[in-house]
Order: sequence, then C-alpha cells, then structure tokens
Amino acid sequence: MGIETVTDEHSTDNREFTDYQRILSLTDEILGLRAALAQEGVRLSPSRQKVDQLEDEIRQLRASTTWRVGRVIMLPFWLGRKLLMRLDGR
Amino acid sequence: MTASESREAGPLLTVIALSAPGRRFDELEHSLLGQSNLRFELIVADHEPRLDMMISKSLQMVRGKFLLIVRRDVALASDTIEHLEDAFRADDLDVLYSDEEIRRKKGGRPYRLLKPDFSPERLRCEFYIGEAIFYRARVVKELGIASDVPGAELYDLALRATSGGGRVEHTGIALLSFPPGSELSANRDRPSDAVSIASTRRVLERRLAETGGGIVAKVLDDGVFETHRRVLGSPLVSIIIPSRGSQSGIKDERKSLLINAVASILEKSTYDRYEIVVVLDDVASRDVVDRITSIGGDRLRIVWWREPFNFSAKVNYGAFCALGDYYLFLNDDTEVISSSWIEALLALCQLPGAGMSGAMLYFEDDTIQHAGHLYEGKDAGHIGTNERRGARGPHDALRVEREVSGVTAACSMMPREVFDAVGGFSLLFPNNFNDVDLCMKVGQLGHTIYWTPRAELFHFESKSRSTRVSRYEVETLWSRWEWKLNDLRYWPYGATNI
Repeated sequence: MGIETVTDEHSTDNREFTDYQRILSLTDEILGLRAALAQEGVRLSPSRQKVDQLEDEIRQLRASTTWRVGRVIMLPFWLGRKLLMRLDGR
Repeated sequence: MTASESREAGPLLTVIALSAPGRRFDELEHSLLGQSNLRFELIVADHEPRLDMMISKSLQMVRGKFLLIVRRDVALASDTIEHLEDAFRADDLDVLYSDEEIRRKKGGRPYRLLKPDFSPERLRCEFYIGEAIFYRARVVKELGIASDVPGAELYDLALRATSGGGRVEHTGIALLSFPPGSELSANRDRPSDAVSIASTRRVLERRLAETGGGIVAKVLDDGVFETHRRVLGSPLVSIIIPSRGSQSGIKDERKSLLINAVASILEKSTYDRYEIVVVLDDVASRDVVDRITSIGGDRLRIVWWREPFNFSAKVNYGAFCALGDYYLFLNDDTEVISSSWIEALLALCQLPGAGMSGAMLYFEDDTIQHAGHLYEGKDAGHIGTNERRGARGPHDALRVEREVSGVTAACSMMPREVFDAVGGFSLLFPNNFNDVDLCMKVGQLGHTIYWTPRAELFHFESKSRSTRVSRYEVETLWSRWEWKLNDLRYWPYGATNI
C-alpha cells in the first residue's frame, strides 16, 4: 500500500506494511469490541459517583425556585386528580 | 488549644482549625453541630508561633479517623461525615478532596468552585486542591508536618499524602462552603512573600526529585509554579507529517504548508535527536519535493502515498517507516513557535504510565485553537478555542501542564509501544475523529494523557483538508465511545470558560 514497487526491497516493505497494518487493525478491532463491552457495562451498572452526582443534581433541582413555583402551579391539578381517584374508588 | 468533643463513641472526623488574631470559627462550629452524624471533634490550634508547630501539637490530640485542616471559617455540608464514612470505607483511600462553594455577601446562589479529578502533574504546577481536603488521619500522623518549609506546610502535606501509594479521590459534591469574599480559586494560600516562595520552591524540588526529576523554573506569587519534567536520555523522536504538498495562504503569503512546517522545525527545535518522516501524496509537485529535500537534509525521509486519502492509514504508514522510540504526529498546516517544544512533549511522554502528550496550538490571529480535548454532551471539542493568547483559563488551567482526556493529532506525541498496543489510528476514521478515537483507546488501556503550554505552535487549522464531518464518522464514534463522551474528569468547567 502506497509504496513504490520498482525494487524487491520495496515489495518486501509493502508486504511488511500490509502485515503491520493488519496487526494494527486487529488490535484496533479488539479495543473497539472492548469499548462496546465496557459501554454495556456502564449502561447496566452506573458507578457510585454517577449516582451521587445525579442525587446531588436532584437535590439542587428540588431546592430551586423553578421547582417550587412549578409545584405551586401543579398543586391544584394534583389535588384534583387525587380527589377524582378517591371518588372513582367509591 | 481547645478540644470540644462529640457524643457517641469515637469521633470520625477531626477538624483542626488554625487560629490567628481576629479569626473566628463560628460558621465552622455551627456547621459541625448541624451535622446529621455528630461524631466529630474540633481542635482550635493557637498559642504557637509557627504553623508547623500548631499542626504538630494538634496532631497529638487527634482521635478521629479522618482529618480536615482549615484556616478559614468554612462551613461543612450537612452530611459531610456520612459522606466521608462512605468514601473512606475503601481501605486504600488516603485522601478525598471536594469541590467548594463560596457564599455570596447578600445571599443568593453561591459560587461553585470546580476541581478536576486527581491530577498529580497539575498539582506540581499549582495547588489546585486547596483547603477542601480530607485525609485519613493515620496517614498525616505518619507523615508529620515539615518544619523547614514555612508558608508552604499545607501544600507540602498535600503533595506527600497524595504520593504515598494510597488512592486519592475527588468528589464533585461541595463539602466545604467558604465565607463571602474568599478568592474564587482553590489556591488561596499561594506564596506571597519571599519566605513562602522559597519554601514552595524547596517543596517542589523535593517533589520532583522523588518523582522522576525535573526543574523548578519559577515560583510565581499568583500561585502558578513553572516546573518542568526532565527528558530522560536522548531517544530518537520521529516527527510524522502526512501531507499532500499543497500550497495555501499563511500570514498573507501564499506558500507550501509542508515547507513552512518543516523549515520551522529545523530552525527552531533545540532537541537534537529527531527525524522527519513525510508521508507525501504522489500528486505533490516536483518543486515541493526538491525544496523539502534540500532543506531537510539527512533528517528528512519522504515516503510516498499512492492510495486515496485516509489520514489514519497515512499516519500508520508513517509510523511503520519511522525509526524512533517516540512518534510525534504533526499536521503540515502547523508552524513551531517554542524552541523546546519537543523536549516539553517528550518529558511528559516519558512519565510512567503516559500514553500521549499534546501541545498548545494557536490560530493565525494568535487566539488559541487547542489546549486539550473536551468531551462533553456526546461531542468532542477543543479546550480554550478562541481565547486570546496568554489567557489564564479557569483556575490558570491554560498556564499549567496538566492531565487531559485527549489531545489533537495535529500535534501530539506518543511512545511507540503505546501506539502499537492501541492499534494505531483506526482506519474507520479516514478524516475526522481519528485522534478522538486514538485518545479513547489510549485511555481505555489505562494510560494518562498530558497537555503542556510549553510546546507552542501555530495551527492554520484545516487549511490542507476538508472540515466537513460525515454522518458515518459521528455514528462510528458514538457506536464505540458514546459512553465516554461526557468526560469532565480533567476539565470540569465545561465548554464555557469561567
């Protein structure tokens, strides 16, 4: 690949590079597969730190004004729904 | 010296508060009493002329499992002790440091001081950890406090405790909240007088001597310590430049990118043992070949590329033809600025466990193009882009050598063994993201990637190739590395600089 083939020396180089490229590609493929495996691992079991971070974000969100205002706005709907469910249950 | 005791058997946390005239610890006491778990002790250290004596004497009283040393009226987050108990359950953990909050004078949302994950090389360039550092008390008792570094005792302690073999962890939860008016940098105790500057220099010289050697060039009173790693031996470095040999406008002048790049290497570089391997497309003009051959002399080797363009394959071919122990990948649309650029990259690449090192690249208009990769929100970008040259960056991050998630292949170095171990550049990425993929693979094998501001070059970005990103490349990148494309370990500041 990409080498002049005018002399024997070059064709030897060419063969060697093809071999080298194959080794690199196979190694690359193995790492790619390992990456895919790790990706699944992460999906299946999030790390403790990630969980902590998410919990922290949720805590911050719940302490925010936006959240509180949203709760106030939604409160009549929630109460109405609760009431309807109770009436439905009778 | 006073010690107030908690209830329940055996305190978990000991806080040593370093007293000074006019210093009070009201917030600290209040926050300790407000802990959901009251297993703590507070030692207010005073009546000693020197800081090291203050801490040493306090250490004799420490009964807690974890230790915090403060010199400001900090407040602890309400569940700090539980958090510590949880983190230090791992026996090999010696040190835990956290992000910080700085309260605002008139209330309101506090300023958040973000810190990177443990970065030992960055730590020798600045005390980025600051005061929010919790030690396993046993470790500090064993290490003791140095008495010959007045003004740099806490920095010295942090450096020694984090290099003792135990694990060091960072939590993104702000466990400490600082009073209003505190500086927006973890490095508040920077050396401000001649004594503390001399002490810091001594601390750093010891540190470097113990960890592979290096030079303390400057200890600046703004908290940046210019320390350099030393190049070990004089290994052969192969500079690999893939090129089409095309011309472009650089600094209002039309010239050959390749000749410009090679000439700047030959003119400026102070490192002696290097070769230049140019992987040249066979469409290059005879004139370019003649000129490059005449200026390159014995250092230069041209290898011909006759296949369709594939950046990865071209560089892999260059690596195959190279003889060096270290590969330095360089785009042809670059120009060397700093003379010791090879030394700066090589010294970092020679660190134990190093996988790659990258440089500071500038656009033609002197704004920053690249100061490390940033992988955020499933996207890959550059740190520092469009910042002016000389900008400090968040917490001086653009001025210090540091750990990064990745670096651009436009200028990066890696040991040959690492290149082979990761399978070189992946042929799946003929044009874009090949460097992102390479860095991911290097990281996947457990190697560390470094960036240095001491290797400076111009990068006339994409003057020699298409900037278009194909859908195929994005999808391939995601299919392999989507789970790692939100990596804020070493750059927690996000895309926007603070």
